[in-house]
Amino acid sequence: MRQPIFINRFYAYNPYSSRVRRFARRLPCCVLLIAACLCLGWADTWDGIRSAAADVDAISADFVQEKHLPILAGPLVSRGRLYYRRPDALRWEYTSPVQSVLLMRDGDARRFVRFDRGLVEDDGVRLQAMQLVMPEISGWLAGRFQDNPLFEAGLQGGKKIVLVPKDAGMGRFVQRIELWMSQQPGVLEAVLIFESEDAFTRVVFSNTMVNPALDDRIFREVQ
Amino acid sequence: MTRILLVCALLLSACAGLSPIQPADENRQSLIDMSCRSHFLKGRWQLVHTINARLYGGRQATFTGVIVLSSAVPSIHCVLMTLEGFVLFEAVDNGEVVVKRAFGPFENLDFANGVMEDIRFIFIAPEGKVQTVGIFKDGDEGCRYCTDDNRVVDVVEAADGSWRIRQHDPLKTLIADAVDRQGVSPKLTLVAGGRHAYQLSMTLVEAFPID
Repeated sequence: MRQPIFINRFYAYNPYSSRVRRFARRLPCCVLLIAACLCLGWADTWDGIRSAAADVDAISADFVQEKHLPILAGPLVSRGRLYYRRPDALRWEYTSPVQSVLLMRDGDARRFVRFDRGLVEDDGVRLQAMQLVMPEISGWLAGRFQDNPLFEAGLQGGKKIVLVPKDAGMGRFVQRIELWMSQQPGVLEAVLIFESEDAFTRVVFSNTMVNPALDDRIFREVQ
Repeated sequence: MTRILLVCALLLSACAGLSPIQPADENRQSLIDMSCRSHFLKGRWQLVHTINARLYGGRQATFTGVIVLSSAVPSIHCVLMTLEGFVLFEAVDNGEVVVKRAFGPFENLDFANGVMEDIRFIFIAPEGKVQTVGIFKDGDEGCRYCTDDNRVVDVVEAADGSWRIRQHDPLKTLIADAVDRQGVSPKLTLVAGGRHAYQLSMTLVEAFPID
């Protein structure tokens, strides 16, 4: 009987001991923080990025996310908004098609998903892994892309940063990440995350604000 | 709360054995039979759900599920993703389950078989003959199938348009809201009993037929 085996596997699974799941959770942070660096006026050198990153204390932006998969007749489109405040407060919120809110603060993370019974906390996001992620994020905030243990970072033409996994294990999950800057200096236009050449996620940012005043409740409360 | 009580009631009744079904009048049988069949998708469809999985012990996790299925072949292509869109599992069932992409605990053929079994249970009409078309003890109309592998599956439609599928051994019950204009139920709850009970609450994000 196959069902019990399936469930047993499911139940026995601790998603947060998985490197893949850790990466899935941390990616919004990565995107945001790289965006933060870009928002400071992108330079063609890593030194320029480090220098610019020092002035970013907070960021907010709307985003549209498209998920492209070969089996889909069209992309899955999600919309949302993100908020970040230095050193480690993040709110990554989807507003459609299903509301979900990821809150990260002081190294702790919680996620809530909208169901009929209201916004329900997803037990899956007891992100112990975030304890490990935060120092990495701080490194990015300081413009230290090259210190990233997971990805090799490359500058391409002053418009694009390409992150390539350093090890094969991560490479199975993400082939590469492209960060595109807009024409407007210092503003990130889009992020493309390639799982394969024909399976990728595109996140396009708009209404980006650098150093907005962000109420502390944004990072504490889901409503 | 009503849904939880209904689930409990269904599980208790199922534990008590097969619910008696009284054959309907002959002129009524074809209508009921047609109604039973209408709950299963026909042709090729793409479905996207938000899936909240509640596991034994009270833990829960939420995913996005994409299903492309064809009732004629039949074939199923399934993708499970995090809410952020990262693919954790992808498999195809064209008579044989093939895992195309999987990570961690999903990297297991038994998991893939279980997923495909659940998808077939929910969306594809049971294989085998309709044994009885009639009225169950609680007054709801429906059909009792005896599948090719000797499982008994009841498809039951309530007066409010909601419907249920219950399988006896292994115990599994689907509770579905009344279908939308496309003939797809916007909310599904799958409850599997046994030692490793679980519940999947599926909220429809989009559904459309594919030419």
